[in-house]
Amino acid sequence: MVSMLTVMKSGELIETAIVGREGVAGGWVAIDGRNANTQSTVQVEGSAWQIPTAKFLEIYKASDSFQSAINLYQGVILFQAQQSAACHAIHSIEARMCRWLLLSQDVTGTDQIPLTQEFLSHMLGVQRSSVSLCAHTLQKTGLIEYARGKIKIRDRKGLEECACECYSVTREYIASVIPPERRTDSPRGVVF
Amino acid sequence: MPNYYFHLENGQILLDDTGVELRDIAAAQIQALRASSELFKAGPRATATLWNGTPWRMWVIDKPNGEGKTFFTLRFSAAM
Repeated sequence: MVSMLTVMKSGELIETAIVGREGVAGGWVAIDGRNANTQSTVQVEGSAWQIPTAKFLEIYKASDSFQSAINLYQGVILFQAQQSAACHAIHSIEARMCRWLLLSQDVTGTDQIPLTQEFLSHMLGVQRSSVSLCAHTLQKTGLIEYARGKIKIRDRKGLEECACECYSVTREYIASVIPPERRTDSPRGVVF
Repeated sequence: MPNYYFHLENGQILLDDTGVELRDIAAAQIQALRASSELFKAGPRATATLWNGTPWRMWVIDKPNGEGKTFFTLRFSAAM
């Protein structure tokens, strides 16, 4: 799982999209030959193919199917960025945290996620005190178990109820444009 | 640069064990206002204690464990 992060001059950063095994990081170069304005950081380890830019562009120009797959995925990234912009402005931090935890579980396929408050505060673009408050609330209501640097999901259904619509909206969009064989093999059939 | 720790009490004490390195107290004040205003965007369940009559405070000190020199305190309460 790769996080696409937008980094401000002050060093503050926020996640604007997540790329999983169904996608490509760095595909922006196909649009204008330049690097994307985001920083890509691997959050959860996994294997991936790497291709030099020149070779990538050569195939992009030569193959219609490659070109349309890349374009389609750039659309997925744009979709996520648009959804995130609205989500950050409108939804509560608790709902956004639930969304993020669900995504992490989808990608890692485990209910035990190694996460510090610091890390979550960067992903959500909020202060650590907000992360602390929300994690505490979710723990009190039995949805998660939170210990230093580790979050265990106890009630996925409860988290889904508390997450903002952005979780299912993004999931459904990706499911509609990426063929199932290119998505994760997780039993949940989730695509990040 | 000194370290500032932003602790929170909302019926329960949530200690900040990491802290933030900031230039001076003015920077810490900006940070505290930003952090506390954000707390109220946490969601209805997280902010329930405020409406149940529990006053909240964010206090900023130079130590991670809740002891130490207090730089300043912000208090929030709701009157019904």
